[in-house]
Formats: sequence, structure tokens, C-alpha cells
Amino acid sequence: MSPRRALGGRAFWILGAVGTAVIVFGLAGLLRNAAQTVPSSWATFFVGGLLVSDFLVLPGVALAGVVVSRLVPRAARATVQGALLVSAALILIAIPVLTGRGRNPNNPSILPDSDYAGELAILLAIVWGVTALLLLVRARARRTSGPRSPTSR
Amino acid sequence: MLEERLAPLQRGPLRPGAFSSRLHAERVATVLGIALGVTFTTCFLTGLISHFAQHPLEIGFLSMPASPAGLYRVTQGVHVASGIASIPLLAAKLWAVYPRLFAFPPVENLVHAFERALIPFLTGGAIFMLSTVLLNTARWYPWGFNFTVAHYWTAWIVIGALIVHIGAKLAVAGPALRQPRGERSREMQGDGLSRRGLFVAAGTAVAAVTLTTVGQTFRPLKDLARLAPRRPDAGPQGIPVNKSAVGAQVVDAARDADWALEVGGRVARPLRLSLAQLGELPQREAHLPIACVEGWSAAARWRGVAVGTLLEMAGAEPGAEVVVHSLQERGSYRSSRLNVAHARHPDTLLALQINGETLHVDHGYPARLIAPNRPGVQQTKWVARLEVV
Repeated sequence: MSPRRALGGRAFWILGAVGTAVIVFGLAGLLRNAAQTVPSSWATFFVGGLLVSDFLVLPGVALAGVVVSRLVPRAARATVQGALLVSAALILIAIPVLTGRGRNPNNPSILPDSDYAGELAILLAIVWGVTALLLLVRARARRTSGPRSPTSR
Repeated sequence: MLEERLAPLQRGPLRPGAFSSRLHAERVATVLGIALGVTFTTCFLTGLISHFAQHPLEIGFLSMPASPAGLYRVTQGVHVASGIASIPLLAAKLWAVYPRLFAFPPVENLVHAFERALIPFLTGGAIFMLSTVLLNTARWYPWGFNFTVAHYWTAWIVIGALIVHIGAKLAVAGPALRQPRGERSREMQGDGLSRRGLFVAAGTAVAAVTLTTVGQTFRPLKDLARLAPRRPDAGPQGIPVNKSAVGAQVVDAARDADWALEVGGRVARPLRLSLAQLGELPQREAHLPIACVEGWSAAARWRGVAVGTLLEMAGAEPGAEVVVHSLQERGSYRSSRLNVAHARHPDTLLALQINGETLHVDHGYPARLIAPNRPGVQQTKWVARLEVV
């Protein structure tokens, strides 16, 4: 990480003042409509999201990185990490439909697919199939160009 | 020196070099930050369009136009798609800047304290917006607040924090981007993802989440929309439904043989028309989309009586607005207001048919409003009364 450059300057203070005013406008709006925004519930989800992300998900990513570096051969590591990122994104956006919590017996047009887990499994199979193919093609390319030329690409 | 006195506190993640991934780099944060700046600004502006379509300002020229008919379908489709695209971008960005959470010393001076104090509004706000909206589109509400109102006001907080953040990063991002390729800071050695590798992976993730959801509004890709909470052709008569007749508790009232449409308010001749009488009036057909705020849309061929025809029969003034009342007794969307442009547009219909069939009760039988360029929640179903105001 490069050293942090000094903050300040005209743009910093102008945008800082404008942005702060907009934040205050938003917070005031939340409080003025407290009957609907229920600040206690809002704050639980706002702060909860931060805590889950900073102290659960991101450490989990770091841990996954350690596991990958232990288990996956050096040459395949970057590709596997990329595939993990794509898989994680698909899983993340699928969570709400996977739980099926929004299903409503009187409105079957909500969550019309009866098997979102199956759909997700197919998508993940495609991601990892393509990943395996990429790794195979690369491994072949490395073999034909000789084992002693690591910079061939 | 203060720093030396604090040094024993630098343990665990506060240790220098605690984060070894070479993706915790300025350039990664900058490029992902710019991408997020674009998607978030797009979300904010298209969100404002949707908000002011539903809660018009009392400023005439800002009121929602009635054409182009598919405009709202596009702006809201883009709104939801750019929100979904932001999810992998935000995940990668949070990873890139994660070590800064443990910067040591936590605060260097007042300016730095100001910048850091506002960061939780940006990260917390972004996480809040994207996670709650994702649950909302799948109709999962594990919280106690009204989603729409909280979504709107939190958007202002996030965009304000983004403005502060841009001010703080301009001095860093500009030079980092203008560097010619050869002069860029040398990337750390490593065998994990490189910077470019991360950009490729994040781009692929954006493509993946977009392609598997955008078909809920962009019909050519409907068969790819495997993870979308909606299909544009799944629902009664091949069109999705936001609120069913059972959910709205209108089944009996809608099927009542004595149903009649009332046209009242500021009119010269109040009307009361039975379904048969409506069917005998001149019918008009319009091809219009239902475009839901939640990001799905579907077009259909609607047939019914133009609202303008009814207003003329009742002798309403040409500049009058109209409030459309549903049979619903509860719910925030049981009425909607037509501005002058919408009220008088020839394609604004009190529809009796969809794609050549009598409306399904879930689509608003006996009569529903359908108008061009309008959020779906304002296409009032089970219409009971047009009130000229």
C-alpha cells in the first residue's frame, strides 16, 4: 500500500462541506419520518451490515486466501481465485431467492422458479467448467513451450 | 514520540504488513472506486426519477412526461441492473481497502479524522442499500422499517458520503490514473491474482450477475434470467403480478356484478358506468409495458376506454388532474394521481382486456389503469372511481 498522501486542499473542503450537508439532509429525512423508517431497526441493519462485512465476511475472504495458497498449485492459484470471486458474486445475489422467504401462495409470479438452488448449481458448474478448461489449456501451452520458460506468456 | 509509545498496540491486523495480498493497492481501489462511482451515481439519478414520478414536486416542468412510453421501463431497469452490478464491485473494493480499517495510528490529524469519521456512512450505507434492496426484490422483509422510505433517505446519506469521498480522493485518483503504463508503481510479486487479474475477474462477476438477472426486464435475455426473482412471462395471462387480488383483499368487490365505474369530483356531469356500458364506449388499444419499481417489466396489448374519453364525457376541464381510486380499502398504492400529460394522453386507458382476453382478477378485473411511462405501482388496479381534481 503506498503511503497516504496528505488530505486537504480546496476541492477536499468544498466537496467535504457539500457532502456533509447531503448526509445531514439524509439523516434528518430518516428522523423526520421515524414512524416509517423506525430508526432502531434501520440502525440495526446499517451497523449490522458493517460489522458482518468487516469482521465476518472480509476475514473469511482472507482465510479463503490462505486455504487457496495452501491447497492450490502455484500455477493455478490466480485463476482459481478469480473463479471464487465470480462464484461468490453469483451465490451472494442468489441468497434472497434461494431462501424462498418471499414466496407468496396467492402470487406465484414472485419467485416463479421452483428450484433456484438447481439453477445456481448449473451456473457454478459452468464457472468451474470454464475454469478447468482455462487451466488445462494453459498447462498444455506451458508443456509445449518447455518447462524451463516460465515467462513464455 | 507518540507513535513509539503506541507501537506496542500494533498487534494482529494493526501490525505493519499484516495484509499480504497484493490487491490491497491504490490503483485497484481507484479503478474499482471509479466503476462504483459510475454505478452509484446512475442508481441515484434513476432512483430520483422513480421517486419524483411517485411523489411529484410541485414544479410543473419536473413532472413525469407521458412519452416516450418506455422511458421509465428503461430508467428503472438500469437502476436495478446497476445496483446488482455494484455488488461484486463493492465486494472487490472493500477487499482492496480492507487494511485501511486497521490503519495505525487510527487518526493522524483533524483532516484525516474528518475523512475517516464519514467513511462508515459510505461503506455502511452502500452495504445497507445493496443488501436490503436485494432482499426487497425477492420480497423478503426481515426488518421493521418501511423499505421504500428508508431506501430513499439512505440514498441521500450514501451519495453525500460519496461526494465527501470523491473530494478526499481526487488528489490521489487523478495522478494514479494519468500515469502512463510504464511508470505505474511496480506490482508486488506474488502468485495470486494480479491487479489486472482482479479487474478481469470482477468484470466477469459483473457480467455473470447481470446476465443472470437482467432478463427480468430485458426480454431478449429472459431465458438467461436464472437468478432473477421474476420472469417477464411468468404470471396470469403471461404477465407478472405485484399484488394479487387475494393479497389486496378485493376478490369479492372485483367480482361483484353491481360494480360500476364512477367519474366524479370537479366535473360538469358525474358518470356512473357499468362494465357493459364501458364496453359499449369507443375502445382503444395500446401496447404498453408494466414496469415495476423492483426492476421487472413486461409489455402487453391493452384494450379499453381512453381516460380522456371519460373526462370529456363528464365535462372535466382540459387542465384537470385525476386521482384514480381502487376498490382496495388498505395499502399505500390504492390510489394514484394522473398529471395533465398522463390524463390526456390517448394511450392512457381504463383497460378491460389484456392481449385479447378479459383481465385476470390479479391484473385488475374489471378495469385497471394503464398509462405510458409510469411506475407499475401507479397503474392502479380494480379501479372504482376517477376523481377529477
